Amino acid sequence: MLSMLPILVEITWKQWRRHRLRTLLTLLGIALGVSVLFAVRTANLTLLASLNVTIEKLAGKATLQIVGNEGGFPESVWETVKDTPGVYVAQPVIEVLGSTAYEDGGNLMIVGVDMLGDRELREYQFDEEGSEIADPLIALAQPDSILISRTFAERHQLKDGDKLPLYTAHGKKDFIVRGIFKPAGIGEVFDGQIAVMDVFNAQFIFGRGRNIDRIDLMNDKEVTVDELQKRLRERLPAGLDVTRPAARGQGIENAISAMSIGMTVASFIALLVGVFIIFNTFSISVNQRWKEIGILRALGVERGKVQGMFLLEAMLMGVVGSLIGVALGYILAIGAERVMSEIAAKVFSYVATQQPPVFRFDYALTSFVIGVAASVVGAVFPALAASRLNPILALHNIETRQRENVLGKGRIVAGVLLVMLGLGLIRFGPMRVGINFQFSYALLMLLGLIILLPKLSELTARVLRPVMDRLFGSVGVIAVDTMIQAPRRTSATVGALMIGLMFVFSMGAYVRSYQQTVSRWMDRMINSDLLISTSEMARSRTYHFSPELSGRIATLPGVISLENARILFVPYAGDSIGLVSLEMEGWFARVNDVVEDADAGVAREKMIAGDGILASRNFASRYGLKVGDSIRLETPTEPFERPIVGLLEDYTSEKGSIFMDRALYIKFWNDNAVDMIEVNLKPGVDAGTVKREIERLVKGEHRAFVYTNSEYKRWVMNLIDGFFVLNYMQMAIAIIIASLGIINCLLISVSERKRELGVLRAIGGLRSQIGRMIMLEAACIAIVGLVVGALAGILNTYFMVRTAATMIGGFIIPFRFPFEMVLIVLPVVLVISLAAAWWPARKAVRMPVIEAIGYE
Amino acid sequence: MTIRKSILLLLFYLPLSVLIIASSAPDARKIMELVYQQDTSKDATWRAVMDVMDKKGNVRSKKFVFRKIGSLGNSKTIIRFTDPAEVRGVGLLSINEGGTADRQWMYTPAIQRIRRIAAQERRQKFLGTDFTNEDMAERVLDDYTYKLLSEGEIVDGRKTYKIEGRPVSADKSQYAYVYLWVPHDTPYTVLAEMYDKEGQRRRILKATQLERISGIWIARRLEMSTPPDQTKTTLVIGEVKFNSGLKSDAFNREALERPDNF
Repeated sequence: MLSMLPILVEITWKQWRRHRLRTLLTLLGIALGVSVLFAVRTANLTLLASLNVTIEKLAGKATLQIVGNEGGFPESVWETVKDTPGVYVAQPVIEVLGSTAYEDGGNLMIVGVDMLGDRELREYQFDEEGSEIADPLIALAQPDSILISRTFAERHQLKDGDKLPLYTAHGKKDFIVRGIFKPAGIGEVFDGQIAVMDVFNAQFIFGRGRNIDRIDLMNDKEVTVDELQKRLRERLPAGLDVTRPAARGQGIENAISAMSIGMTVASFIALLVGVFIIFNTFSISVNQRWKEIGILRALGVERGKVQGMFLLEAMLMGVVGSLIGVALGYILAIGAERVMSEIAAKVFSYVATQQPPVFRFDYALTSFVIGVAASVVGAVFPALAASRLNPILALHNIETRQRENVLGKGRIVAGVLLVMLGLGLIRFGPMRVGINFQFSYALLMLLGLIILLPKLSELTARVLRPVMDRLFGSVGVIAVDTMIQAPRRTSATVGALMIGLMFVFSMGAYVRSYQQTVSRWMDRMINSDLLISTSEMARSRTYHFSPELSGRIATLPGVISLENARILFVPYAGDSIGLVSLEMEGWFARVNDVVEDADAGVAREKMIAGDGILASRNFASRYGLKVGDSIRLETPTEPFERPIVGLLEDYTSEKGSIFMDRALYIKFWNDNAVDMIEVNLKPGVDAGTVKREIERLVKGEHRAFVYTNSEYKRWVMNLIDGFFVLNYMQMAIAIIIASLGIINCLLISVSERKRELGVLRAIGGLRSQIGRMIMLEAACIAIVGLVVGALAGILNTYFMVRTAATMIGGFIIPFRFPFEMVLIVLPVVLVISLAAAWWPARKAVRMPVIEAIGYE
Repeated sequence: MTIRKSILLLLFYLPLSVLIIASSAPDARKIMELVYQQDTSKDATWRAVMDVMDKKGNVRSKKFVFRKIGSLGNSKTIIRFTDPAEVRGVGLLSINEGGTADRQWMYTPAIQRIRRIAAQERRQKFLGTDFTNEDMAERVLDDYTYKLLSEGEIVDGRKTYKIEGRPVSADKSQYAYVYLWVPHDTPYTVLAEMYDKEGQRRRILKATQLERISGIWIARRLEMSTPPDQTKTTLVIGEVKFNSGLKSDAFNREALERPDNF
């Protein structure tokens, strides 16, 4: 085969030059698929690198870190750590993602450190060469002292001694800038949106009591890090983890895994569409080169070599397309990483320090190889078809392939069986066998659908035929018949469309189902008149209200009662679960029928008495627990153990969540912070009026988001939309690639039929009729693609709600397919198809009849 | 805090008996012994003003009261800042026990809490002054070995002994050696230069306006400068009282939290 390479390259080059547009579109199809694949992996890696840089810069020279849960742990642990032999230096840390009170908002990462000793651990470079903080004693003595990065100072035109307004647990406060450090070391973190203050002042200002978030420490030279880690683990109370700073990155990686998985799936979808584009290109290429193949075969070239020739061509195309894809993907990664890091900060409160895209040669190579392999896979069937051509008939340019090949019973049975197998595995298969294995369920269904595609296309087209006849007469019928008579060509276009639309529909269905589920859940759980939150993301990991604010709100006219809620994440069974603490008596009084699997009255009594907890259904399902089982948690004070007294539906965390009485939480976690205040009003009191009162009360003092019940529900829905922004991006990518697929396939399809169109013209067909026919065929393909895409979408939605939602999101979401979305997408697909067909149709009808008939 | 430093400096670099200095066969260690031992007070109270000047010439001024009980190497001190308003009430408690590192606590009234001050890098400046953490630690005579370099140098019109001091444990000091000037007629170090391991002069301490109160020599004015940084910290000591009967219970954490008694 290698000896044929020069000839092959020459033939290929000739073909590529002759069909420049087709070649370009095919290359673009591969390039896009590869670029998305490479971009997602690169963006993911860059995001992790950016998050790790934050950890490293913040950790400084620390060799070990002691971390607890989100609520922090008592600073008394610091004394234990300092007194542990082998600890050279240990410093307490508080991290707060604060919010500036400037018009343009913006978050500020505030790191509380011991300003008297922290320089042994962290690098601070102050602006004045060789100088220190202007007045360290004042900086320590005044809790409003803050040191900021020069980047932040320049952004807000701040200098030493200026006021910096920030929202704190005690309301809005003006901090005084008492030092500006260079954008190096810790100053590089979070794009310079970083400030440092004394840890004890931070405790006071941010209402953290005597708790700290972390202890960073360095080991003595005489003791190894591992040995010290072991010693500390033996000495420290349970619930505290002694870890190397780098290991914390793994935790973050796990937390953002759902986001990464979603993006990776989208990239494979993009690549799959690329495979269809290749398939279509080569199907057409084979058709166009029958005579060429016939000559080669007549000259004695063996079947295998003909097949190899096409595969090599596909490989060449894959090589060029993949190279372009890798380059394109590297650029695309920059944008993708920005979006992902924003989500990481908003949703997970993980702060990234922007890093240039990481170029990993192995990733590039993998993407390249996958791209080339996808091209070859796409060309396998056309190449096989080419090798099976009868040389005599091929020389006469007569299609010899049998339609039954793609519409045969065997294929249909195989296709149906694969779809059924996929469905069966989704319905009855084990739930926790690993994400890759479970994705194969969806792949089985998809493979079945691809095999069934020609038949499905044909069936849909046959249904469409009378409609087209009635609407457009003989031109419409010819358009549909053309589709039916060329099932391979039609299937390739429809397949590209099906993959893209399947993704769009199933993702849309998933999002819609999730929204509806949450909406119903909110109707049962969220029924206070007003809700006040600390963050635009439902809760903040680092910013909380103090109970004092609730006390003031409770005295407002019209307020009958209120409940304080604390929502945080705590370690459980090696993972992190949601913990919701509420004033249970008030909560039970207003929620509707939330307790499941238990007597609601008994559960209520136990909850109020602090004798039990409620567990979310996904928590129980995830850890195989039921009512009556006990949950044990490590807390900053002593181990917490309570039985589950009931289950409830809850969407706080994909890992599951538990509910407990607030008094119980405060007792064990020694934390009285508040994340949300739910306010109940006297009957007849206007919620809007009280809302304005609360806003007046908090204005200029607290960063608080006050919502009426309906506003809150709308806001949650918007939040979900925000979380799904990546999914929408994936949908957009799928639509772009599917569009590219349609454009490619239709362009090729029309070009291929120049002779056929010429014959139609020769027997009296008008230019306008030919043009209309091409446009109608494009429209029919779009409709068929939409129908098949909807079918695939339904199947994939089933996979997503049954498997993916549980596997990635941990939630049980009912199956609902948004058929209205199909109708919404219809005009979009029609427009794209008609636009794609317009230019080739115009070109086709303008071609002289003689030239068209002579086209091979 | 700087007050405490001044005390230490005074104790470390100064007193001596005139008679011994007048003897004809000077020995560097003996001269320094007299400097260390000249303060025989049981307790001391100072009021002082500290000016820290940065390289642009900006001066930050603070006032404080310094109290000490016990003897060198076994003392307790409290420094209480009284001015400006931003630092009023801030207190520093140090407990020095022979052979162990100083234990220090700081009280900040704005958040009403005491914090332990971690042992720090020796060369790091203490609270923005020209004194480093090493300078702030209470030293004893045996921390250094001494060598007499000359006997006739004139400093501020006084004939002085120039003594070289080298730390006993080289790895425990940021300085490679120090030069000390002690007047023939006064057991007090009036000038000290500290050199790093590269031989660069890092700091200069000048003690002027020497005065003898209750038989104990003190310098009313101390100036520590850092030539490489072009910064300077000056301490001017006002009211001084020795042996006024301070109680040891005024030198603990509870006392630190009571800024009102200064």
